[in-house]
Amino acid sequence: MATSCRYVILTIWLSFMLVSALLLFSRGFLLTRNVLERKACCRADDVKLDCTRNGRWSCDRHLNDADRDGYLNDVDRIRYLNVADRDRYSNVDREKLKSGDRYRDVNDVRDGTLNDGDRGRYLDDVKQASWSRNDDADRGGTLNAGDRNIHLNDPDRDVPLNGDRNIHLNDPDHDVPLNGDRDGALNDGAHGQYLNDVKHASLSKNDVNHHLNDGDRNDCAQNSCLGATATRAVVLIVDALRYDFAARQTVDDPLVYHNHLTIVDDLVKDGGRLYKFVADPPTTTFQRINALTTGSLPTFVDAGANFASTEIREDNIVDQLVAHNRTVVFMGDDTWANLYPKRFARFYPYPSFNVWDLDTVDRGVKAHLVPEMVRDDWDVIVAHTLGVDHCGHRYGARHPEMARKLKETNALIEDVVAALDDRTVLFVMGDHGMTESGDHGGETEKEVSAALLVYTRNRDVSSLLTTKSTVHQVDFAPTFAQIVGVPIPFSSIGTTLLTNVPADVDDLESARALTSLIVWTNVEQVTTYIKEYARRHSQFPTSVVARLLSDYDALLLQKSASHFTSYISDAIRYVNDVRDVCRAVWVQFDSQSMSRGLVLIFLAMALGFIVVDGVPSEILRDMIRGRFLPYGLLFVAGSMAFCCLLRFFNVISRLELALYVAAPCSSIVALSCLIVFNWYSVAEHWYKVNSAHDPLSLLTRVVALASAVTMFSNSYVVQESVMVPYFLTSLVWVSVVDFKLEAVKKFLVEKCSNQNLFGFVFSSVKCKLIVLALCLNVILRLTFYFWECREEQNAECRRSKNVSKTLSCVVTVVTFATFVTLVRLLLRHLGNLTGWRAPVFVARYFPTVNVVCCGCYWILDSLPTVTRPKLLFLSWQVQLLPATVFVISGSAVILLFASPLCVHRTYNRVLYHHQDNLIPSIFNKMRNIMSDRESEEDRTPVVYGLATVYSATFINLAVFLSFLSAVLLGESRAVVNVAMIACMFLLAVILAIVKFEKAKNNRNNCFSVPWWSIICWSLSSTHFFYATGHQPTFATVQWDCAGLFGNIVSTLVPGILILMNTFISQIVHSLLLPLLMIVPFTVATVWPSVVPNHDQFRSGELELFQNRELRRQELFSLVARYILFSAFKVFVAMFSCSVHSRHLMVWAIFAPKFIFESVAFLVSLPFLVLGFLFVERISTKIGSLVTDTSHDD
Amino acid sequence: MVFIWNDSQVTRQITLVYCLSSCAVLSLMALLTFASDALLIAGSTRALPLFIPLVLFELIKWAVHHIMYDRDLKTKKSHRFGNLSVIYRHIDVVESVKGIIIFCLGTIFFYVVAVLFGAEILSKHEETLMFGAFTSLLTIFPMTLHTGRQAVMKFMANQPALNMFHKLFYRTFQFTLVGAWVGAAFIPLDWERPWQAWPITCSFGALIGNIMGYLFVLVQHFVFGAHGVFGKKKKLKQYNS
Repeated sequence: MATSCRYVILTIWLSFMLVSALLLFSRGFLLTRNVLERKACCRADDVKLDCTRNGRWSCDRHLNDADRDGYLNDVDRIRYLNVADRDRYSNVDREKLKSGDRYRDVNDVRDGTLNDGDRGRYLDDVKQASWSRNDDADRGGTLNAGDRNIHLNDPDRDVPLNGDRNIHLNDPDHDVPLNGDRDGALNDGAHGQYLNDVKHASLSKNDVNHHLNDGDRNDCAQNSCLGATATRAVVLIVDALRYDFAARQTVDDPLVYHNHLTIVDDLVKDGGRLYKFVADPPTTTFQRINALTTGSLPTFVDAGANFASTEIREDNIVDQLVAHNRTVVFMGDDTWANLYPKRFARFYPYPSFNVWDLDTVDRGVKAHLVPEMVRDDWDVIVAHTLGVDHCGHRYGARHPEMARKLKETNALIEDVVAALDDRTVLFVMGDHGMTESGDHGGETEKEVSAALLVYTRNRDVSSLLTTKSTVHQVDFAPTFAQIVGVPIPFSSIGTTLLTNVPADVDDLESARALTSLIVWTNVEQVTTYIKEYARRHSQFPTSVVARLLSDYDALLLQKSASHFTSYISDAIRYVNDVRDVCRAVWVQFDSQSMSRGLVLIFLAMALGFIVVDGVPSEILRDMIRGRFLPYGLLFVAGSMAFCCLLRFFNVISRLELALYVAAPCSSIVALSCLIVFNWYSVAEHWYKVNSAHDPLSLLTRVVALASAVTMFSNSYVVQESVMVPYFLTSLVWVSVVDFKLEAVKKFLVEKCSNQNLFGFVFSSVKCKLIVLALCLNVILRLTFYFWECREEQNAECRRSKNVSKTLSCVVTVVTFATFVTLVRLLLRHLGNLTGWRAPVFVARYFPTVNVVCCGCYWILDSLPTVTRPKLLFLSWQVQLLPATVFVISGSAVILLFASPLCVHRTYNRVLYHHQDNLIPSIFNKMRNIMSDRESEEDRTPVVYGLATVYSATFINLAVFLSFLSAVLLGESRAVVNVAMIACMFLLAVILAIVKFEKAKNNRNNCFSVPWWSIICWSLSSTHFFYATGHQPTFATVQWDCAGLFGNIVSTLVPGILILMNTFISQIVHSLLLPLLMIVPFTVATVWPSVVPNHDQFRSGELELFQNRELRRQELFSLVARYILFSAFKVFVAMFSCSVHSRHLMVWAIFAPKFIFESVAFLVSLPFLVLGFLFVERISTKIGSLVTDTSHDD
Repeated sequence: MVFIWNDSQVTRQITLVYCLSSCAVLSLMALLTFASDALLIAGSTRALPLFIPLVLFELIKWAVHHIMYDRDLKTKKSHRFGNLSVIYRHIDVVESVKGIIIFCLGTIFFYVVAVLFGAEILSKHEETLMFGAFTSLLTIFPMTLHTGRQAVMKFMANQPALNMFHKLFYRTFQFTLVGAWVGAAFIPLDWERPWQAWPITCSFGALIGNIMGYLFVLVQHFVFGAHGVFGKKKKLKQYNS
């Protein structure tokens, strides 16, 4: 027992050093952004703009009304100038310019200065929206009405090219300032009439400068907080509201999700604006909420934290609102409750995790939103509905349910608009988009393009954010902050979408001062953040920081001296520059940690390989028994303690990193000592072993190498699902074809006829082997139909998300029933279903119960939502069924561990002689060996199923695991589980037969598991990862399984469920890994005709029990080899990540691959150890059974 | 039929001629298809006319082989067809039909193999069938034609080769499969080339593999072999197998 413990400890040690090197790497690779917890503040008193005391506005609005037609044209045009159309439009514009002679004539006549060179700028200007028209209108008096009429009446002019707008351009009086404005600030978007107030004449340039010059006095991020007084905001976040869900589509055959948000259209006509709202990856809700409120770029490492969202401690809008005594009300997705606990005055959270529930959150929002709006004691209402997102997750985008959810959203927005008052701004936005299959998380076009609709009844409080049809998501936070008048969040790196400067000619100065103030506020805030960040963390290269700061200083100078327009454009360019720097740096990796992690994991792998593969078994045994293990472990523990000590005395700053380095380093030193001292025997061992050159070992190397090399190419990573079964099939077939026919020589001599030859071939072992391989291959091929597609795979890849649920349900239940029946027959045949011991009882009845429960659950679940209530089943009652399966299977696994022997002991000699279908036990012989004394004839104990005692337990384990995974995977994919178990056993049998042939009558060789078997097993585990409908992307994680047990408040249970669902294949393969060692002996007893020297294995799996030392050693070697190969795959993924760290696809392909690979590695480790322990547990129990029986005698 | 038990001089000559001519002609064909667009239609039935030269070439080799080395019949030179009479003697309709059946079985075999290795079953059956036919044409057809039905069956029954000439077909069979196996590696790459479609790379890989097989035998036996350029004057092990 102690020895086996030592083997387990060695295994754990090996995995420990691999894991710590892996963690070291992922620390460098995945952690990219540090959170600064500083809060922003304003130095000066808040500047509040009072839009009610506005004399000039009325006239302005009047003019607005007068020009409404043109304006609407404009808005419509911008709205439809989405990405697809933009090119066309600009082409049209250009062509119009080229071909329309008359047009050019007019231009030439009216303005000699608009030469060809200006045309490009002119084109840009044409695309601008109506703020310029407003400007015009202000100056309307100065314009020649006749000129205008000429333009308006021009019959050649088409509608979108409403040349009306060009008047001011061509007007010599206004040309210079307006062009300037346009180029600079106004290009970016002009609006914000709330800033129009004339009272800010006092905020002259000098004033602003004054504020700036004493900037160093104070630590605040910005000088002033702008904002209109008494502005309120309703932020309605519709999760996964993609841009084309909201925008009107004019295609001929609209898809099921098109044109349901009709209210958006109406609002746009009424002055609202719709933008494409570009989110940054990762497009998961948690990161998007974070980005929306902090204005920052949450990084990839948080991507998995979608359901484990924790409080945001960075500065953000919500905190700023609360700090400025604004009342914030929230309703909807309870992710916000975790992000912002205790921030909201009133709070209506609804569970977000159950993606099968399309309605609860939406109903809750609907019930509370309008009543809240009617109340008068709020400043900001945030509502977050989840129906659209959940609908995507459950059904995909193109499902009638999506139309229903969008219509409901439409109705909700209509209600909200009806309840809007004059001082409220409404923002309706999606936090991210979704793919056609309803998933999100990556950075494809459809995932990042969300919709943003801004609307207000009061034009004083602007809703017109910008005229660009595309805005960035990080720009929302600063803009929102400036509208409501709170400081821009400290870590925001967005650009304030510029508000319109009142283009009153009389008051240009004050208008410019305001623009300047807005822009400068943003510049200050961003600079402070960058300075602070650079001071605390060395993530930004110093040269870049220096460049930014010098840019900032230049701006400071330019501000007082230079021309207004160029200053504004420079300032905006500066802010955008900062954002780009941040974007670049936050995908920059800690290269030191990465390279150290790579080197350490490589060394650990290499040394582990030498220990497992090179060190001869006698030396390994001595090492295990001797003092190497305790001393080595002591050394590792000592080095880690030393690290802690150093940290205690502040010698090192980052303990975690030091531990990650110290653990593998010390282990490597310990192991290399071992190897160096035994190098002679290692070399000798390898020299002896390394003589085999059969095609199988060649192909094994090729496959191992190929599976490594291909991970460096993105197309192979994308297509790995095809490659893995290709390799597996090749390996299996080569091993089968390589199998020698027995007694070949005989036929050479006899020269028998064809019939004889074929008769012989058909009855040969090889033919049986071929049939087995064919079965395996056909099953493998059938599992291809359960693949899920990832975005990058080409269009040929089809997915069957919407197949008939009832059909798949019936097929699954029938398959499972057959599977359980077959297993029962097999177990009964083996004699492991005799008697009434607890595991036997469990194995006899529980699978049937499980099948019934699973079947009921799936059938009830597949019923349409309409008919389900008629059956009077509540949802919790339905959810009781999978819980039952879980509890039964889980407890069965535990019971199997506690009492693993599926045997029956009796003394009845009659049974011994007459029950032919039971494998008679050779217990007698064995007991003689054990107890060394003769027993009486009539007291000969008979133990049923002793020859297959190991495999029986593992078969039962496989059955219960398959039920666990069936429930996790859902009815459409549960069939794969049966295929997986069948494949694993077939593979084990094939490998066992081939191994017997290769072992060449050497008994000890039959214990060891060669590398090619392990690689086959590993390939099989990867294949079934894909076959269970997974892909190494976050979009294809089957989140729906988290809602299996209803709405569980804890995040732990859903997390574990998702982890198990995703890596079920790796888990099952790891746990059943000892089968590779057990099955040869099973085959030798159950099917002796395929084993050439089956006489040697008369006692079946008891061989394993008898050769205790060999068993432990080979089992350790098996598990360690599997760990090493998995670690090798992780290493390759790590290496490709570091090589491709600047690759375009690194976040879409390589990083997810690495994360999935390493999580699979981490998840499979405990199950590997568990499998090891299972074997040892069975052996111990057999030992006690033997001693019990001996005592009974 | 060639039933020569040891590697006599005749077998060596036959094998040499066979390998050299195959290498030359197949390489030429590979070059031509590579240079022209013929490669791109490898997956459709339009490529069937391209099989004709291959079949003709094999038939010519078969004829030459018999005219040159069939000693029993060569003696009767007085026949009115001259050397060609040898060919007539050898044409056996029943055997030919059986050979064609074996060729078809080979096609089906390669079809199944391709499907098992991951090809589409139904949606691309034409391509898969063409691949099967082409591979069968490269491997099974010459084997049937030159060594007879029995030898193919022996090969399928995993029996060792009789002599060097038979061994040649075993080798080319292996190399062709390996070539096709390697050829599949190009399909998943995202180069967006038209020739990346199934089964073009695999068929071309099979062709290259086939040539490599002939070259391998050539080098093995006639460069490093017992009587080769660098050969040692002792009988090599692989002849016995």
